[in-house]
Amino acid sequence: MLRSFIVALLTFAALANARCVQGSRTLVIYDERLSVLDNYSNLFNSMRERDYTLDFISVANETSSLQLFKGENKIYDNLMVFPIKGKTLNKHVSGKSLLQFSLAGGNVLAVSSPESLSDPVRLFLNQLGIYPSPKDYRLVDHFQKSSDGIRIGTDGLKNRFVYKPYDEEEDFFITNSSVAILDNREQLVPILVAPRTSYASGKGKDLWVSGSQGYLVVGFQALNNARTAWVGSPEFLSNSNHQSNGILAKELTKWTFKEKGVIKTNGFRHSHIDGTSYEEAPYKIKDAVNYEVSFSEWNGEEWQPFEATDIQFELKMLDPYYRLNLIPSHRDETYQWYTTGDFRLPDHHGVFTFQVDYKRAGLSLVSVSDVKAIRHLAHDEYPRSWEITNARVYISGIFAVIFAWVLFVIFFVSTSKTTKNFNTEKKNN
Amino acid sequence: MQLMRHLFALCALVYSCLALQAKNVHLTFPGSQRRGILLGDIESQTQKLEEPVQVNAQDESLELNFAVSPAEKPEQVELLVGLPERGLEVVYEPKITDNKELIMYRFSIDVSKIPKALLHYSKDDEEPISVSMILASPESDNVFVPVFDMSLTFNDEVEYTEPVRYEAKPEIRHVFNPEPKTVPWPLAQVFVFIISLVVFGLVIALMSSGALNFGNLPLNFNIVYFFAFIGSIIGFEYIFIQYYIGKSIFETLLAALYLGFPALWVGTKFLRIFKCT
Repeated sequence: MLRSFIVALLTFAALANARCVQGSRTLVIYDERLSVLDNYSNLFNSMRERDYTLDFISVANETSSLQLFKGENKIYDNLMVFPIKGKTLNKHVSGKSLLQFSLAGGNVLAVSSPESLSDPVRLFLNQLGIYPSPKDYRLVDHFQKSSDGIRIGTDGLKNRFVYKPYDEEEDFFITNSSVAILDNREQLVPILVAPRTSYASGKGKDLWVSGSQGYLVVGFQALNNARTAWVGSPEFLSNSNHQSNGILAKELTKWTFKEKGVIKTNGFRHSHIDGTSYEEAPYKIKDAVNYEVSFSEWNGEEWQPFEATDIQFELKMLDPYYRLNLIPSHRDETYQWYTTGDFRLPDHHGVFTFQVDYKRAGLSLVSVSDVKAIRHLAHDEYPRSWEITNARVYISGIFAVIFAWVLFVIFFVSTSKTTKNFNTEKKNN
Repeated sequence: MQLMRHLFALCALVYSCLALQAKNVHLTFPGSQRRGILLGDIESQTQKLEEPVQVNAQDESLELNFAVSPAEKPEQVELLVGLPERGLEVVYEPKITDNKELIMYRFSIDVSKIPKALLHYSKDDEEPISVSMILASPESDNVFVPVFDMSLTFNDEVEYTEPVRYEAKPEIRHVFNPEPKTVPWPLAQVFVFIISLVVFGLVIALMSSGALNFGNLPLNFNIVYFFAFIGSIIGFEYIFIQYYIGKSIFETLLAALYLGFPALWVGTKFLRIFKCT
């Protein structure tokens, strides 16, 4: 009893110290015939320093058991899959189970090489819209004189949330790499693009992809905020390229396992401009209101205010009536608040949605909405007739008639009968 | 010194032998009467055509032909067509004819088959489409040069729908229905004045025709009924005005009820007296 309590306490303490928002239990699946773990010691040590719990399973060993779920619960939060020879992985994990792992919120970092990309990983990546080159197709660039590999400048980086270089002169070194073609999906996060002059071809010289249409590192941000990243070359992460790629590799694992690019909201509020809430005075058409929403970003250690200039608010009833860029208002230690400023509700009544749907490639997806009715004007809330200039003429007429009527009655009852003689002539034909 | 000069010349000779070159490059316009353009030989230092090639119709096609000597047959021969600044490029591969003495390459660019995104952005931004040539082999002086630009001069609209991306969308602000138009207040005042004038004219006309002589005004206690009768009529008008400016119908009915009974009694009393006079 005491032992299990201590284990639970230690597990909780490990999770509490974890720098990734979701969890740090990480499984590394590799093939010892292809990958020597010592070659990636810098990467793994860097992860251990960030409080990751790493379990290693080599699928080359027939007897090794590999389970991603216990019942319906994930055993691991993160999964790293290194190149695996032939169909060895199929015996342990299927493409469907990788997809289930992602659907359950698990993050996956898949590494392939021109020599090996196991079917489950390929099927899983294809489901996401990432199509790595077939076996033995590798990236070639004859314009790079070094026979060891290909250098890619910072202009090849495509997402600043994954990695924003400090030095624009920085180069990344990639050797023996597969190349992927991407589907046209908004969930995909291109990270490193192939050089313009490169191409990927196989033994038969068939071209797989050419120029900047090929990608070497790609991310995927699912709607449930689970992340997947694919790297076309295991050497990209290895110690031998640590000097050139070390920071990018570290930032890539940080992004994939939700240490960075993670934002959240603490909530939203909207009210009349004088602060009266909807509950106190339900909105009616043309009311002046304002809307505020807070955002916070995980910096690897704590939540801090999230700064952005492209957060938008939408007021929708089927279609948006308003789409406003939010402006920063106030902030505290954790949250940055954004506001629409004052705006008038539409002159249409109905059931409207107050919504902030902030989705950006490389950031976790945040969506908050509130459905509220906007009523039409009551009968006594329209402008009165005397406020309308046209009506003043008619009002004058009404009061003129009233005045004349009262005067006529007074005249009629107060005046005595008088007889006036008129000269009449009988008309004789 | 002499030795160095010879070595330098030898290196230059070897380098020039390794340098790739597209020979007799010429651009033709199949299916049209336009004359072809001879671009000459293209090497790594060759400049692109100064003037962009005009594309006058969306169904136009261009052909770029050149030859390479079999000794220096490049591994990679491609044409990049696109807008490099936007990161939009499509890669064309050649049709190769090997006739032993020369290897002939032919690239066909059918403008109608160029991706719509390229045509759209090129027309929208008035930016010519760049055509670059790649000739490359390992250990060679490779060629990657812009050859010419294509300027789209046709008037047809290029229909293109941008793919959905996670990004900020254009702002929308609700356009309110216009406020109802009303007459200017000075003009309304003119009509109000005319109405007042007509009422005043009516009073003058009544008085001038002898309709007001107060001869029938009761002189005894009955004058009280007279004033009460007139007062009840004014009272009813007052209740109506109160209703008009916002009193509820229930308050109005109650007030009318309170005034109605005495007004009926006083009115009856006064009208009986009035009948006798």
